[in-house]
Amino acid sequence: MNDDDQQLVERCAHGENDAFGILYDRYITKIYRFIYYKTFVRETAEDITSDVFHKAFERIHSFNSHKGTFSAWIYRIARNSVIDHYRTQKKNIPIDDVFDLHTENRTAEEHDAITALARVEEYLKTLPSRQREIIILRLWEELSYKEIAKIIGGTEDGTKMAFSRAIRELREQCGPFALTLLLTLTATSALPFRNLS
Amino acid sequence: MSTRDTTDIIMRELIALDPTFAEKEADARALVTLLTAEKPNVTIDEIFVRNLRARLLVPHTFPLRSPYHKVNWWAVHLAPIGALAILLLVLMPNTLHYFENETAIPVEISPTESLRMDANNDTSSRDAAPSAKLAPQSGGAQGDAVNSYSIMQESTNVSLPPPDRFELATQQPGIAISITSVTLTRPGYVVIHSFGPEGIGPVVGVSPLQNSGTTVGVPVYLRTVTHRGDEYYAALYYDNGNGVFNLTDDIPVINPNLGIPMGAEFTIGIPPTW
Repeated sequence: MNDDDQQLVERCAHGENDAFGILYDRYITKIYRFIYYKTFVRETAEDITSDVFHKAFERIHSFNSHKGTFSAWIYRIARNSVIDHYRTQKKNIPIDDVFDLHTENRTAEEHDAITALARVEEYLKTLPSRQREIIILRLWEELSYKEIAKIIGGTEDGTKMAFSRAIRELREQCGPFALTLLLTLTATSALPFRNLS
Repeated sequence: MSTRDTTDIIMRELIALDPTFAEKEADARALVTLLTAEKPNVTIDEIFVRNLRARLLVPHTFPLRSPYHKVNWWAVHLAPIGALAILLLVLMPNTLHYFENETAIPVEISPTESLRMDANNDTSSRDAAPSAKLAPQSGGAQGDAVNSYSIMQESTNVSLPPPDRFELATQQPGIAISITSVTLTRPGYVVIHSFGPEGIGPVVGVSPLQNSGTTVGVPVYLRTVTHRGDEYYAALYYDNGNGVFNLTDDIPVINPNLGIPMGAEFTIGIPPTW
């Protein structure tokens, strides 16, 4: 539990709006990124992010620290908001399966992100949406298993096992290929990675 | 944290959970490295961040109900009757002579095409003497109806300050209300209230402080997301001098002819009917 978050939430409950401002500064980029991974449209991600923080502001009094962290709470709001968005926009798609790489009407930046992600999608799309979401939250958002469990529902141990199972399945499918690709990209300096120091 | 650090942590977790990962660690490590490093480089628009922050942290010291809601309810519902009376006066020949030497006339609001045409007509024929022109006006962008709530004044001999007014086109669902233009004789705000069967509800959005004069294209970001069919009420307020909106301290702009606060209801997705 992030005690600092909890203190800020308590200050919000006492009407100190600036405390919510600190929480906002702390989570705005994370929540936006989390939503962007699921929508890949900047305007849509901004709209949903705005909706998430308005909901969080209005419902901050209902947050119960005994049920989880503020982080997990606001990620859950974001996840549900994305599901609501797809429910209203695309009634025929599976609600949980919001890993959608549309390519039309994109900006250059969006295309770059999608191109990079398309490679990962080749690996990830073979997984059930739940396992895929766990991998994204663990590897990209660097959330703890406990927080992930709170966001998507389930137990910490169950989330760990699901992550382990997903990696094992991916390794069996493309493990040698992943190693070859990694070595090739490293040798040709075409490594698309960041922070690979 | 670097990709390598993340990979190390993940691999330790995986091996602790399932020792078989140690057998082909290189493959698993390569996979985790690829997955981690392919994280898209997503940047967030700083302007969006700042605007959303400002909207969220706007002072929320508003009472639940405007003290003027009952007066405004009558203004809204009696408006069509008043507008019809004015329309009849305008359409009757020579009626405008009655208003000669007046600087303003009591005007109610109407969506009728005849009034729009009157507002758009060449006024040169009436410039010989002070006269009155009626709101609303038309001319919204992209074919949307734009209605204004105002008292418009014309005079060739007397220089009058522009009256307080605002214009509103058909609003699309979203997170903001777009005010086509607002004219204030003193610094103030456009304030959006929720609106329902019981009348005007809480404030849900306040424009940035508007200087005196006319400002075109004023967004009012809301604390809620609007949907087609939602009803809201827009009103003008003068700032009390401190530059921060507060419903109890700032002053509603009063229609000088009707003696009631200046404001009107509208519905998301539907052209304003006033």
